[in-house]
Amino acid sequence: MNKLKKFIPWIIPVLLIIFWQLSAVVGILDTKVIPSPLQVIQQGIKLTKNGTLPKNIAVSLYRATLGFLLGGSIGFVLGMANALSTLSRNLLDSTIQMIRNIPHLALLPLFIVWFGIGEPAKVYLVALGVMFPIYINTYNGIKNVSPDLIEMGQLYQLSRSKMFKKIIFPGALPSILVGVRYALGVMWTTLIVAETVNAKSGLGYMATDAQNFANTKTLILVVVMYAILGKLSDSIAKFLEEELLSWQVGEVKA
Amino acid sequence: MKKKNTFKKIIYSLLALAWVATAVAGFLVLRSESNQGSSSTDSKNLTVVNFGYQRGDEADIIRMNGQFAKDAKKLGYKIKWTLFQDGTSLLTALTSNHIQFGRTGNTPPVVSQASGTNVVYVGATTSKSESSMILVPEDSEISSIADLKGKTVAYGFGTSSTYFLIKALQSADLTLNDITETNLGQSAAATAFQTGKVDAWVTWDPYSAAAEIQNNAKVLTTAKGYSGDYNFFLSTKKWASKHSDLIDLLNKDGKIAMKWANNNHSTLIKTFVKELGLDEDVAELQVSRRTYGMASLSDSTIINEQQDIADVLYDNDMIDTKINVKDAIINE
Repeated sequence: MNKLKKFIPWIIPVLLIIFWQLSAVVGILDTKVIPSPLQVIQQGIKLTKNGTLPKNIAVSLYRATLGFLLGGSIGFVLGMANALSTLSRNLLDSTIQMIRNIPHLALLPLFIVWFGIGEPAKVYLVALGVMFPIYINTYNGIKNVSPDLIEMGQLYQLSRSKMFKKIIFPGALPSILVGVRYALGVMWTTLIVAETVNAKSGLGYMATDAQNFANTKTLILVVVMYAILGKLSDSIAKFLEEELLSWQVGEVKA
Repeated sequence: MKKKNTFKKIIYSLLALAWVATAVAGFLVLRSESNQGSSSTDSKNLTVVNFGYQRGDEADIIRMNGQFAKDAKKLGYKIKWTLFQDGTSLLTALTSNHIQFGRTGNTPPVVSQASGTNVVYVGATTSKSESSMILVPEDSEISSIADLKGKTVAYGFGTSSTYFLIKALQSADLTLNDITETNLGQSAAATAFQTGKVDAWVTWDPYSAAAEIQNNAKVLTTAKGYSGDYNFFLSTKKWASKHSDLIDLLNKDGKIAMKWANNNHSTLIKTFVKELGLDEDVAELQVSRRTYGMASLSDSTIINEQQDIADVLYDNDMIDTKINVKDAIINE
């Protein structure tokens, strides 16, 4: 039964692909407009053999990771600062909330003007996208640490750094990790926008280039790659969550 | 239970490790890409010139030909080619001084000048009016421009199709108000056209060649007689005034590259098939009906057309300033 349960999440994707392939075979789907899954897989094999796909995945992964680390750190620090200091919150929070809602596509011209057309502009755009979910979840995580625990810490006369290490940070961690998972998704969607400007490599470049020349096989292939990479990064984050928060489960059981 | 957890731990650690390794590989790819061609020691004291191009355009041909970059080196410049996906972002990069040269169609420089930028024309190409066209589906009952009345027409707002369409409609005493305009990018328009969601599509090669070959689209008219549809090499006022030697060279070597392109159709077709991912017959049709060439900016036909584009866009409320195109011409 347990083994069967493992397959449940895959039922919908697999059924969708079967339906997609069948409609192409039967002829409901015009493969000139949208290719069949088999054609997409063939294109994937072709582009893997000539090295295009692995190269572009590697480049995108590099930009994504760098942007994630940069934006994640900034979001984390800002979230902490604003949760712990009223002055900082009054000063920064409204500004952050305003910037948060600007679509990345609208920011692209500004990023070209500010940071040019090289690698930094792409990494910064990803960093900006990633920053907000981490910021909000860090902030909320710290704000929602149980006041009882903080009071207990005060009773024990914990030092500020000990208080943070033993009570505030662990208390906020579940929320921060939710932010991380969400940010990983944002990371990929922002990257596709960032890679439309002066990129000669990367999945976003592949997608725009394919779109520009109506190369739907490559376009769908890139979409599938995004889906796979998105799922993969989420799985890693989920595992991290399980590992880091295993003490929580223990606590409940006790 | 314990054992299973360790197994999971190993799997995920390996995954994370693979992630990092791939990212590092990506970094190395990027580093080698940016170092390409600049390994020679003498390139250190050369002035770097960033040249923006779009796939398959005249700048791309100058890049493939190689003569310009070679001669530029003798003048003390290192040409760095940067790829753009559309004219608008190319112009943003140009007017904010991140690139020094770029190639676009006829409309982006007009729009840019109207918004008060310091863009200047430094070169022009010969007409490509026979590579731009209005397409209708194979079985369409539309047989003249007048038939477009009340129909849905797809085109990219702010692209060279805008002026072409307005002029064509004008010839049949129609305006944009007489049709249903649909603003679609090239790939979205191609899909909409294929699936019969629009009645006509104003586009250019290779999209038109692809629609003709793959969907048996009919050519209602080419731009000939409505729009010369010239392409332009652009720079910024300040930069261009200081580097007239390189501009002269661009115009001189541009001619060599265009001649090379006209004489080497098979190389061009092969490159387009490989780099643009076009089908061979599409690339063949595209190349066969196009003659590449450089034109002079002192040619009044070209300047008058640019001025007319500016006036037409102004009259249609697409730009909000009246401009004098001559203000943006660098005298050769």
